[in-house]
Amino acid sequence: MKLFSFERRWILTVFDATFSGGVATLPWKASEMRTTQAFVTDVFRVGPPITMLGMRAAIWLVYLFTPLLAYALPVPLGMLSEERRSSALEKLSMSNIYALRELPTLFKMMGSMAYCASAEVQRAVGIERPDFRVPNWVEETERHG
Amino acid sequence: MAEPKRIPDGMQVFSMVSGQARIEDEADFVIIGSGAGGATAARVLTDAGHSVILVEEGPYVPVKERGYDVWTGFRSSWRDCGFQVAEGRLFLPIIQGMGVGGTTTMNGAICHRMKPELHAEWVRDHKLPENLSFEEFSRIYDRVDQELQIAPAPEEVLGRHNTLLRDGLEAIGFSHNPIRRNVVGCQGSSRCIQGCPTAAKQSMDQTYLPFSLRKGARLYAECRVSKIVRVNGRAGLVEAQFVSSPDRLKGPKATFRARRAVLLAASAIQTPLLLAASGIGKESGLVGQRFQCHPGISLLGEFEEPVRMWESVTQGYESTHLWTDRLKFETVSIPLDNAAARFDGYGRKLMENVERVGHLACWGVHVRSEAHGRVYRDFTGRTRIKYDMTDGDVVRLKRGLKLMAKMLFAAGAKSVSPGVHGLPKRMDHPDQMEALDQLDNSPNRYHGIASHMFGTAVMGADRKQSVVGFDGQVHEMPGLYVLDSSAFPTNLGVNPQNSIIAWSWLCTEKLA
Ligand SMILES: Cc1cc2nc3c(=O)[nH]c(=O)nc-3n(C[C@H](O)[C@H](O)[C@H](O)COP(=O)(O)OP(=O)(O)OC[C@H]3O[C@@H](n4cnc5c(N)ncnc54)[C@H](O)[C@@H]3O)c2cc1C
Ligand code: SF4
Repeated sequence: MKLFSFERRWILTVFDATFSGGVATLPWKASEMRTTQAFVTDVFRVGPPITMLGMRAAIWLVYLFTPLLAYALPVPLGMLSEERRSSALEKLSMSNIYALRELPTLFKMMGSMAYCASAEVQRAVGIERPDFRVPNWVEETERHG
Repeated sequence: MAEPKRIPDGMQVFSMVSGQARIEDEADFVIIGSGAGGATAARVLTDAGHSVILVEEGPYVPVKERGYDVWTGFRSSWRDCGFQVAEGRLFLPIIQGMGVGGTTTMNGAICHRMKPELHAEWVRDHKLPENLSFEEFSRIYDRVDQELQIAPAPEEVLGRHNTLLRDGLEAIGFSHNPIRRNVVGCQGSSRCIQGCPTAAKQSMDQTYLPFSLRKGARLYAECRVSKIVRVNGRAGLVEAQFVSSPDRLKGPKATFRARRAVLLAASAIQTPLLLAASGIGKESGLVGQRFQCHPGISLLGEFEEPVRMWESVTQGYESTHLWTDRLKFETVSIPLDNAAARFDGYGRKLMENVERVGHLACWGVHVRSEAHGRVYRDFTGRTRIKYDMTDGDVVRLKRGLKLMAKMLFAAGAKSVSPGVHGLPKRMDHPDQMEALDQLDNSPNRYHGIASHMFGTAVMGADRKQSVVGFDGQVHEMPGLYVLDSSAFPTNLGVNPQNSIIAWSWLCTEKLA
C-alpha cells in the first residue's frame, strides 16, 4: 500500500509531535531521520493490508481531529504550535474513550520502531553497539522507494 | 549489494521455486509448521529412519541477517509483522513467530516443565490416560534438557536488570530462581525477540531442524498450507502455495503426499484454521473454540543506579511463588525501539523518558487466565481472534501489578510507571498502587500482550467433547495428528515451549 504524499507528511508530523522536543542529548527531529522516512514507506509496503488500511484511517483521524478532540479547535494538527501538538496528543491519550486514547499510542508504537532504532538515538542514550549497522529495510527502501 | 543467503541443504525457499509451475513431493510424513511442535516431530521421525517433509509458511532468516532493531525482526519473522490482535473490550496483541523454527527463534528461551499440580488437574478434569502420565512427560523433559542444553541462566550474564528482580522478590519473601534456558554461550545481549544474533539460543532452527535436514528431511519455507485432503478415508494430501516474505508475492502451488500421516503443528491459532478449512469440527463443534492464553502486562521502574537492560539476558529471572494463584513474574528486557511505546508522554516528556532508559527496569506478570476465546476465519478469509478477560482475570492482574510495584520499590526503584488508564503516570510509593482497587475491571485500562496460546483443538476420549484423541489423532480424520498446544485442555501457567515439545515427542514416537 502506498500513501499519498500528504498522508506521509501527516504521519511524519505526528511522529515529530511524539518524538521531538528539545532534549539536549536527543536533538534529532523524527521526520528528518533516515530510519523514520524509510520506516513509513516500508511498514505500509509489507504490513498486513487490512491493518494498514486501519492505520491510514487513523492518520486522518489523528491529524485532522486531534485539536478538535483535545482543545475544541477545528483545525488540523499541523496548524498548532509544535509544543501544543505534543500536548494535544497527550490529552487524546488520556481520553476515557478507549478507541480514542489508543490512536496516539499506535503512532507512538510505530514511531518508536523507527526513531529509536537509529544508531544516533541509541548511542545518545548510552546503548553502544560496536557492530551496529543500518537495518536492511532502510537500504532496501532507499533503493526501491 | 546484499549477498544472496546461503540456504541449508534440504531446504527450498520461494526464490528457488518461483519459476516453476508446480511443486510435488511425497514422504512418509508431512509436517505442517517448523516450530516447537513440528521440528520435534521431524527430529523424532527422521531419527527413526522415516522420510519427512516439513512445510513452513514463514521465511528462512539466517543468523547474520538478524538485526538490532525490532522492525527487522517483526517484518521478517513475526506473524502479521507483529500486528495480530485478539478483539474484545481490549485489543490484545497476540504475538507469534512465523519462520523456519517458528516462535522458538524469537522467544525468551525460557524452559519450563508442566507443574505436577497442573498435570493432576488434567488427569482429574480431562481424564488424561496412563500414556500421558507425569512420568512420561518427565522422561521427555529430561531428554530435551540434555539435547537443548537447558540450564539456569548463569550469574555472569544476568546483568543488573535480572538481579534487581531477585532483590525485589527476596525482599517481599517470594521464592525465586534464575530462569532455566535453552542456550549455549548466551552473552546476555537482550536480543531474543529479534532472533539471537550469535545462535546461542537453541531454538529449533539451530537444533532439531538442522538435525532433521542432515537425516534427509526436506523443508519447504515460504510455503503456506491451505488444506489437508483425505485419500482413501485418511489424511493423505497437503495443498499449499509458495508466498514470498515479506512481499507476499504468489509463487507456484504445491502438493505434498503423505504415505503414513500428516502432522499438524501450526500453533494454537493456525492449527484450528487449517482444521476448519479441511472440513473438520462438525462433530464436536470445538475447533477454534476454548482458546486460552496468558495475558501479560509489564511495569516500568526507574532506579537511581544504572540498570542497562540491554546488557542482560532478555528473560533471566522469575518467580512462580503464586502459581497456584495463577500468577507468574519474570523480567522482560525490551529493546528501546519497542519499549519507548510504553513510556509516558509525548514530545519533550517522552524524550526525557527515552533519555532515562538506562535506569529503567521492565518486569512482567502473566496470568493463567480463566477466559475462553474463539479463533476463526471471517467471510473475507481474515483470521479473527475473539477474547475477553473475565473479571476474575483482571482482579488477578491487579494483584500482580500491586505486588510487582512492591518488588520494584523494595529493590530500590524511586518511581514506577504503571501505564494503567485511570492511575497517575508515575508513582513514588507502593501504596499508591492500592488505587487500582478503586478502578473498575475493564481490561482496556491495561496494555497487555499474549504470547502463549492453547486449547483450540482440545484432546479427549469423547469425540463429541474433543477434537483429537490422547494420541493427538484427529477424531474426524484418521491419519491427521495435532502436535501443538491446540490440543492442551487448558493453559499451563508457565511458558509452554517445553510442554509442546514433550507432547509432540510423545505422540510421534508412537508413530515412529
Ligand atoms: C515473544 C515471545 C516470547 C516467548 N518466550 C517463550 C519462552 O521464553 N519460553 C516458552 O516456553 N515459550 C515462549 N513463547 C511461546 C513459545 O515460543 C510458543 O508457545 C511455541 O513456540 C509454540 O510452538 P508451536 O509449535 O505450537 O508453534 P510455533 O513455534 O509458532 O510454530 C508454528 C509454525 O507453523 C507455521 N505455520 C502456521 N500456519 C501455517 C500454514 N498454514 N502453512 C505452513 N506453516 C504454517 C508458522 O509460520 C510457525 O512457524 C514465546 C512467544 C513469544 C511470541
Ligand atoms: S540474551 Fe542475547 S545472546 Fe542470549 S540467547 Fe538471547 S539473544 Fe542470544
